[in-house]
Amino acid sequence: MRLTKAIIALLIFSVLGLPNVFAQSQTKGITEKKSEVKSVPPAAKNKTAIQSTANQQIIAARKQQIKKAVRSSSISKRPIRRR
Amino acid sequence: MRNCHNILISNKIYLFFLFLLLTNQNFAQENQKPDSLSNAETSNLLMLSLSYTSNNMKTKNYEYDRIPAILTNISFFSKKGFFGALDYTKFYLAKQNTYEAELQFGYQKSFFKNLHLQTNFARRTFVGDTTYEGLAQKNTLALDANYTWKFLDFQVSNSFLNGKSNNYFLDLDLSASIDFDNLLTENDFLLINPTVSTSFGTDNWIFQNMSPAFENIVVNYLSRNGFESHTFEYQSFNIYVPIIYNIGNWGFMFNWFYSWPSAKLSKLSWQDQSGVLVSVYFTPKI
Repeated sequence: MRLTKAIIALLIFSVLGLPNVFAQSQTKGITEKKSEVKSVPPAAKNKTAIQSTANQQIIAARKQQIKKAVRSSSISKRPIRRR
Repeated sequence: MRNCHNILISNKIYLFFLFLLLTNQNFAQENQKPDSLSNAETSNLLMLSLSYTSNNMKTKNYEYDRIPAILTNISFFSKKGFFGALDYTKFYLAKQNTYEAELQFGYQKSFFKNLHLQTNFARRTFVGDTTYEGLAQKNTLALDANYTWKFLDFQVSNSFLNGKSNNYFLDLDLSASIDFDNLLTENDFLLINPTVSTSFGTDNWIFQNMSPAFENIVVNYLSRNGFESHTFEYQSFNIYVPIIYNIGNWGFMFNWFYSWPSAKLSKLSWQDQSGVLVSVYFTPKI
């Protein structure tokens, strides 16, 4: 009987308790990250944001280039043989 | 027979447009790329690929109705618009060493963002069992024009082939670019590129391996069935469905294709051609 109660308690804890603990730790992490961001000087923050946007643009440009190359290459364009 | 063929093609085109309409809403947003992307500097691109194709050619006249092959390709695209490619195709079912190699170089230029013109020249060599050769061209000069509207791409391809016979082909393609970026990482994309293609061309290649006497018999046979010979005409209707997943420098492609020959080619016992082409490619940073 005690064992059953213990298992039920454990189940309730795992369903209700663990996600809360997890959520708290995540919130804590976010708060810490936010405070880290706050501590970065505005000029450096702007530089990081610009760098990040530039990297995203480079990745996006390369993706576009690969898509164009794949579309125009023989592997996608003409697998059908003329006889 | 011709009417049936036309109705069949109309139905196929109708189904394709229905597919495009259904997908339009979902993918229109995907294709609204910020203008800044087009301004981002591009670099040279090297692409190495290895493919397998099952290519089932149901031709009664041929000894082989399956022509599977292993294909390797090295392509280089410069940021100035020049490109070059080397294709090597090995027909591994042939009893003797049989392969074809093609060296290609060309130039592509874009106008007004949506219009892309491309010209290229290719030199081809075939070695081995000529049953696998197909159209025996040595040199190909091609001129293509693409117009992109939203997620649709219209392409007109002109190619002049010189070899055992001289031929001109005109391919009219309509394809949809359905792409999803950042599926698993910020470095990946999924591209589905269904294409319908209608091919027109001269038919000199049909007679390239025939003696003059046999050519006369075939010309008369076609004439009796209401078909002209040595003309420029509709030759086939084709569907390609390439599905590409790219992550970082690696990409995988599955391409299903099907081709319906014209009534005239069907009369000469050409039947449908179908198959899959599976590829893996690598685009190292250079």
